[in-house]
Parts: sequence; C-alpha cells; structure tokens
Amino acid sequence: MQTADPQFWWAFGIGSVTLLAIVIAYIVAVASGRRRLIRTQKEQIEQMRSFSSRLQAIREEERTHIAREVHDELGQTLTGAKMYLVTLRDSVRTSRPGNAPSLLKTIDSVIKLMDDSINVVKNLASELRPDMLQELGLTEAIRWEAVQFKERTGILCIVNSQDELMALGKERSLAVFRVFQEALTNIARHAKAKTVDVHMRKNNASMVLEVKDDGRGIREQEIADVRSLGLLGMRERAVFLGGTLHISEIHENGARGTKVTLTVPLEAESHNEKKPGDDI
Amino acid sequence: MAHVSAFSVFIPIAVGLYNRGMLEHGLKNFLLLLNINLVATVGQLILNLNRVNNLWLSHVFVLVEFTFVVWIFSMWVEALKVRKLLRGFIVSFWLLWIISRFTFEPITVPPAYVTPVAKAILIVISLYMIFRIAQTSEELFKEPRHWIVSGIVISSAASLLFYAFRGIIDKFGHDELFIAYSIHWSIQIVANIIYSIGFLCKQPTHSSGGPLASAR
Repeated sequence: MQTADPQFWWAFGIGSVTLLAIVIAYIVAVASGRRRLIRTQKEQIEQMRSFSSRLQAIREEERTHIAREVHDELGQTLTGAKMYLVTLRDSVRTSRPGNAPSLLKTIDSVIKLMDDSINVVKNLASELRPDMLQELGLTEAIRWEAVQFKERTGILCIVNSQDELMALGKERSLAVFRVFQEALTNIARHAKAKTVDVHMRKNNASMVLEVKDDGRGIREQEIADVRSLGLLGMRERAVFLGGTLHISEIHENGARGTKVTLTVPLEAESHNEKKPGDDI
Repeated sequence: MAHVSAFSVFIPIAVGLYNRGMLEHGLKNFLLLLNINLVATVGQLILNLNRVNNLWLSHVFVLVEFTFVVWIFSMWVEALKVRKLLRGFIVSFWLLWIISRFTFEPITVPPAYVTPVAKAILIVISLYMIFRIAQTSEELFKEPRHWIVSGIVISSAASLLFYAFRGIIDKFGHDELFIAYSIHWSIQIVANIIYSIGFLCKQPTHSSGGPLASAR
C-alpha cells in the first residue's frame, strides 16, 4: 500500500477515538449497572432481615393479643361460669322443693356465659383464619372484606369479579386475601381515598387482582423504601405464590391514585421462581 | 465482501426464525426489523443493477430502523417516564426526517446528516439500555437483550463513523477506500453474529407491568 492520504489518517484517528470513547462508555455503563445491581441485592438482603425481625415482632404481638383475649375474655367468662356452677352445686346440696326457679336462673346464667365464651372463641378463630374464605371462597370473602372496610373506614369499595373465577386452593386463597387486606389497610392509612375499585379477573393461566384507589398516589421512593414492610410482605406473599406484585401511581385524566396488581398463576408453582432482572 | 456483509444478516434471521417460538415480543419485533433490512438490501441491489437511484431506500430504512429499535427499547423499559421519552424520540426523529427530506437532505442524495444523527441517538439510548440491563440481569451473558443491544451499539458506531466521514471516505484512494469499507463491513458482520448469539440465548420469563422498583 502506498503512503496513505493525510485525510485518511485524520478520519482514521477521529474514528478510532470515537470508537474508543464508545467502548469506554459501554464499559462504564456495564460497570455502573453491575454496581447498582449489587447495591440493590444488598438492600434486598437488608429488607429481608428487617422483614424477618418484623415478622418475629408480629408473631409475638399476635401471641400477646391471643393471650390477652384468652385471659381477659375467655378466662373471665369461664371463671364466672365456674362460680355459678359452684353456687349451683351448693344450691343442689341444700336444695329444697321451692328452690327450682333460683336454680334455673343460675343455669341460664351459666348458659349465657358459655355462649359468650363460644363467641369469643369464634371471633379469635375468625381473626386467625377468616371463616368466609373457607365457607364461601375467595371472591365472596373479598366482597365481604370490602363491605367490612366500607363500614370501618367510610371508603367506598367496589368489587368487580368474573363469575367463573377460579378456585385457588386454601393456602393460595388465604395469601391472596391477606394481600388484599394489606392493600386496603394501606389505603385506609395513607391514601386519603374516597373510592376503591377492585377487579378480579382471569388472564390466561393467571388470576389478576387489581386494587385501585383515587387517593394521593404513591411515589417511587415510597415503593422502593426498604422500611415499607407492609409492601414487602405483600411482595413476599406474591413471590410465595409464584406470582408478581406491581405497585404504581395512577395518572388518568388528571386524577391520581395508586394501583396494586397481584398476578397469581392458577396452578401452583414452585416458590421463589422469579429471578431479579425480569424487568429492566 | 460488501455482499458478505450485506447478506450476513441471513445468520441472525435464520437463528431467530429457528428459535422464533421462544423469542419474547421485543425480540420478535427485532427479528422483523432484520427481515426488513434484508428486503431493503435486496431492493437496493436490484435497483442498483437496473441503474435506478436506490438512495431513497437507505433514507427510508434509517427511519424504519430507528422507529423499530427505539420502540423495542421502550417496550423493554418499564419506567413510564423513560418509555414516554423514548417514544418522544421517535416522534422527534420523524419530524427531523420529514423536514430534512424537503430541505437540506433530499431523498436522492447520499445520507450524510440525518443518518449519523440517528446512529448517535441510537448509541446513547443503547448505552442507557446496557446500563439498565446490567443493573437488573444477574447473568449478563445469558441475557438476549444484552447481546441485541450490544450488537446495535457496535453496528450504530460503525455506521455513525461511516456516514459522518462519507464525504471524506469517498475522496480516498483505492487502498484507503478498501480499508475503510472493509472495517465498516467487518463490523456489520460482527454485529450480525452478536444478534445471532442473542437469539440463541435462553429466553428468560419476563413479568409485565410496573417499574423496576415495584418488582423489588
């Protein structure tokens, strides 16, 4: 090859520098991306740790609550019933023909106390595991919870569901129901919403539960906040079900709000299948 | 070598079609773009053989390529603001393309301004995509999107330099001209091989909707 044109070397030089700059930019992009990934993973571990300790605290709280309920409600009622029974025994020992009305009155009191005890036990059991879910299935349990929510908070909660909605199985239904309860709790606590729209539908082989409110919305920082243990708990349940949970802010025709979308495969999958990196 | 380079797009097309059933939506669209590329190449060749000006095809293909690539990227990005921004780029580029056709770069002259601009924008967006993919994908080398975007960076970098220096390159002597074209063609072949690797990667299952933060 003869001596090259100076313009060739000029173009070659500029071209090489540009290519080098692109290569460096590429390496920087990959390196910073990886660094972010490592940081995110560390945050996730941290989040899991705090979630775990929070879980312990909740467990303790729950035990204390049950112990208090059993002691204060059930304990007192049973003590009362025992006292009536002692009185009843003494009355029977020294019974005279004219004492029958007084004995019947004591027996009625014992029966009333037993009814109270049964109610306390029922309420406790219902709190631990919702009756509705077992008796009527997920859809009706969600409708029932929506009604209860409206009564408790005054926030209108409308449930739309496909009629032929799927049976999910006990454990999975309970997990979905808990996510729904947590979503409503968050709305009541933070959203300042007036209406909640709940949509349940079947999408291919998945069940989609969408909870939309017309409140103040949610910021990206709030969604990503490691201290948002309620949100983390919802995500954990979604992962447990082999599904996904997405939380986003709504901006529709000037209206704001928050949308929580839970997608759960109808057939059970192995847990923790979702890997990081599924979304960019 | 020109023909080898031009028709090296056959490799990713063949691999992509072979794995078509396993490709996610964005990759299927990219495969469609490669097919359009092939059709455009054949079209240019036919027009050239018939001594008809084929430069308009280059101009049109740049518009199609930019639209496809940026649209695919916008599908991969879950953050709503970034998605809107990317789609805004498409609209802006269409405007630039239309204006340029009636003003400084008619459709019958070699591409010298709008194409390098398109390639420069594609490089910047691709680097951003590389950053996002590296940030979210644990196994970067098994991530098809990483390979596709890397191929786009390489191909766009080569095209950017080629079209930016076109005025100078055309004035080169025979040997220098051969070197310049060889570099350009070789890089295009490399990019097509990289696309093929992308189509060969096992496709991960992608969830839909919601920003990255919500998936954490």
